[in-house]
Amino acid sequence: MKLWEIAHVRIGDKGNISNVSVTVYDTKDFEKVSEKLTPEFVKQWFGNQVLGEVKRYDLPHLGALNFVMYDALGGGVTSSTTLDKHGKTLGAYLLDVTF
Amino acid sequence: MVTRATCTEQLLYEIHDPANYITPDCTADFSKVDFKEIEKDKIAFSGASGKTATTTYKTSVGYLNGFIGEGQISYGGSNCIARALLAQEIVEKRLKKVTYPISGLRCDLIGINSLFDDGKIPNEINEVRLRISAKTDTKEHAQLIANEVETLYTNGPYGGGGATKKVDEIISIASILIPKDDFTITILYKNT
Repeated sequence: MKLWEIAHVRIGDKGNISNVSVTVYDTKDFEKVSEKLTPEFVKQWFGNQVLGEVKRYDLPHLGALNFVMYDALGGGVTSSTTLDKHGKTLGAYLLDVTF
Repeated sequence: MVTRATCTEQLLYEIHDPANYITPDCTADFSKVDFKEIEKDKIAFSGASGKTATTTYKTSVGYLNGFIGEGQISYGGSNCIARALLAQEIVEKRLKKVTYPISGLRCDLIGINSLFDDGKIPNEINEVRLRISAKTDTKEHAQLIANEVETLYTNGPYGGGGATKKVDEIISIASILIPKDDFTITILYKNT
């Protein structure tokens, strides 16, 4: 099973920091998703894209995890040489995590 | 569509720590916020609170941070990936020899059906567009970076086409904190 079958994500940016929220459709899946998506797992998943620390904030009553990924956008919207300077497409890659 | 799901996404959008979201007026705590669907497209929320505001304002300062030079060129048909990679290697080698500063060098391979479109999405990769982008100190040097890709037309692998080049000035943003006491805020109302 893929993460996109049980959760949705929204991704945003502040400077060189990427912020992605993962929300399960059904709270019965929250435990499973929180166990797998540790900050270490998410940092490893994005490989060279995320050079800094990953922090996670849990909101179990909403079935949501909020990840803050530092040094993740090649300098940020105003400085990056990449095509997707906001990192808007990265969320879709997180949805590929297998359970 | 206004649902628990869309409201949760919006609640967490670009806020980092939900328990400590710093605004000019207070440090908001959204960590206990809950949503209840009361009817279609109508949501009630509760649980928001906050603490005293911080003593500083976040201030975004723009500053000149050099230029980005970018060039793109496409390769199609058999072996297109190998030719694009060879083209990339040529540009990378040449950029290593330049005397002006280069940073943030980015080499991308892009493409599905921009060169030869027969109305079908191909099962295999049948085209690839090389994009090379890097930062440097002046507009002239950024132009030279972009030129390195265009020159692949005649000094690169077989069949390169559709080269484009671009130079952008970089105005970067630094976020700093300034004591609120340093500002006097006055509001002027105008009747029009």
